[in-house]
Amino acid sequence: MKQDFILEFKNITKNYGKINIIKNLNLNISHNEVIGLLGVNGAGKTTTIKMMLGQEIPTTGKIKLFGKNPTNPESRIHIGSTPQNIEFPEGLKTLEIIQFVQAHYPNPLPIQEMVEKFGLTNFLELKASKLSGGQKRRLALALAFIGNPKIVFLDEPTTGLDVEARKILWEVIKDYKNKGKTIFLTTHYLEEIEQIATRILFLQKGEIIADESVEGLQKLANSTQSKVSFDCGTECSFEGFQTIDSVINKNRNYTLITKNSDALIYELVKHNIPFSNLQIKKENLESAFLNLSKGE
Amino acid sequence: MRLGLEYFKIYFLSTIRNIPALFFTLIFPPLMLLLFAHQWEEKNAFGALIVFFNYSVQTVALMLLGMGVTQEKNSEWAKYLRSLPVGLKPMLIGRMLHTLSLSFINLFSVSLVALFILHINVNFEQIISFATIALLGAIPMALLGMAIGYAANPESSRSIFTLLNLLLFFGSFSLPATGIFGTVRNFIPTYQWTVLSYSFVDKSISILNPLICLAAYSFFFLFLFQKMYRKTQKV
Ligand SMILES: Nc1ncnc2c1ncn2[C@@H]1O[C@H](COP(=O)(O)OP(=O)(O)OP(=O)(O)O)[C@@H](O)[C@H]1O
Ligand SMILES: [Mg+2]
Repeated sequence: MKQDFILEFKNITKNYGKINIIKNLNLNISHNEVIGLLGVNGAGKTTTIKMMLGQEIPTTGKIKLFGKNPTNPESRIHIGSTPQNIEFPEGLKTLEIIQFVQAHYPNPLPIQEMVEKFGLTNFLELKASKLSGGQKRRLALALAFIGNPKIVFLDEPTTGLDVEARKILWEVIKDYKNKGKTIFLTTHYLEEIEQIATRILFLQKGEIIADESVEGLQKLANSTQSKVSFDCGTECSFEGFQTIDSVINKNRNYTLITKNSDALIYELVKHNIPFSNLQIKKENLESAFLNLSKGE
Repeated sequence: MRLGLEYFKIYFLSTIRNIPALFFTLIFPPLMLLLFAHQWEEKNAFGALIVFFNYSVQTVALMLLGMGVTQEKNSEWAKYLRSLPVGLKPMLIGRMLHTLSLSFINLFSVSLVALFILHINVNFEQIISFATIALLGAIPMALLGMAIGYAANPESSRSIFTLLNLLLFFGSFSLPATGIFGTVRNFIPTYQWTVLSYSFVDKSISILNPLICLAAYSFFFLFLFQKMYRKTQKV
């Protein structure tokens, strides 16, 4: 039997006027995934999400959301979303907005639970349009989850959130994934999603140039490299070292790039290099991303 | 239907908490009645009452609902709502109830002016009848307001709605009965609406024609509204 996907993109292109934004996108999303969509400003991330939600219609190609066209409201019963920008209507209180959105779903989560999770308890009686930027974002996130959807779309969800709220969001996403649900999110903060994403998509100039697990991506970006840095009391020479790719020397603070940090440490000790403040940094997704973008 | 009530609730709450918009919509029709009533003095107080009853409903449908639609249709919130699992119907029901409830408030204030300031000689039964017909007319008027609301752009909508509101107002009673205008007026929804109300006073007037006309307009405006709504989605 064919695997039943939550969402299918088949040969999707999208033009705004004569300008081509998305080129021939093919993509399947299953249950129990945390997918991060990365790309520079203007890459087409928001456009992609809008097409997934039926808010924009692709120029060519076919999208299926739970087997239906996303413009069909029935296809959206099991989705929740937080748009990149949201403004709430004048005059409505936070609680009224939550109740209103909750009423759209057949098996929603309790309002109390979401309110507590996203720290909205003190704002329920305030006008939503008068909340601070971060408070609005938190409300928008609560709205994405309130319907207990099978997939949640979050467009740059951490923008404007304080440290505390970010932590909460990652916890919520992890919990949600553990319930077997799917999260699709876009972000520019690459470091934070490498912890939770099961799959990373890179969008560049309207094309997916990578669709990989975090590990796969690091391999792809030739990124088994580590940075080993330390201070050295005297000028050091690394002649005869087998494992060093390159050396950066800043006032006797050395940074060595290597593919095998363990072997490098062994060599440092063997050559009696008087190092202190040793730090080893594995290549993270952010640098993988940069490598990948540079490689076009 | 339950969701329709939810939509009604948020529309209603955000309107009644917007004091300036509410004030102008609700104050205008009774004020007009107050200012113009002496034109009809002794002659046709009924006619004046009917015209202003209908006018107050029409103003809510065009100026409050229609213009409101234009102003919010491109908002981030309106776009967000389109990602929720809901079709057109609850929104339509919500807007309809919204128009009806505000029209009701409007009719109430016009009635107070008519009874206690102008001392127009109408009985309770007549007021109820006129009000019922006026509210019935809210259906085609609200649909018209929404259709234009989704078609118009925010810059031009105020002039469009103001002009339309005036044209429909004068078209409802001031066209001559003879010549080309006599024919034209039969196609003006507000004229037929007035005729329908008037049939309560003059039993010789047939209600068939106005009913058919208003029903036809309702379907036409509904069709137009759906078309315009869908169009705003496609870029
Ligand atoms: N409604 C629109 N009409 C015309 N062009 C648009 C429209 N929406 C987006 N675009 C264009 O499409 C391109 C992709 O925009 P999109 O919002 O999808 O980018 P993004 O990847 O989400 O960027 P960001 O990281 O800044 O949010 C941009 O060049 C933008 O100018
Ligand atoms: Mg974006």
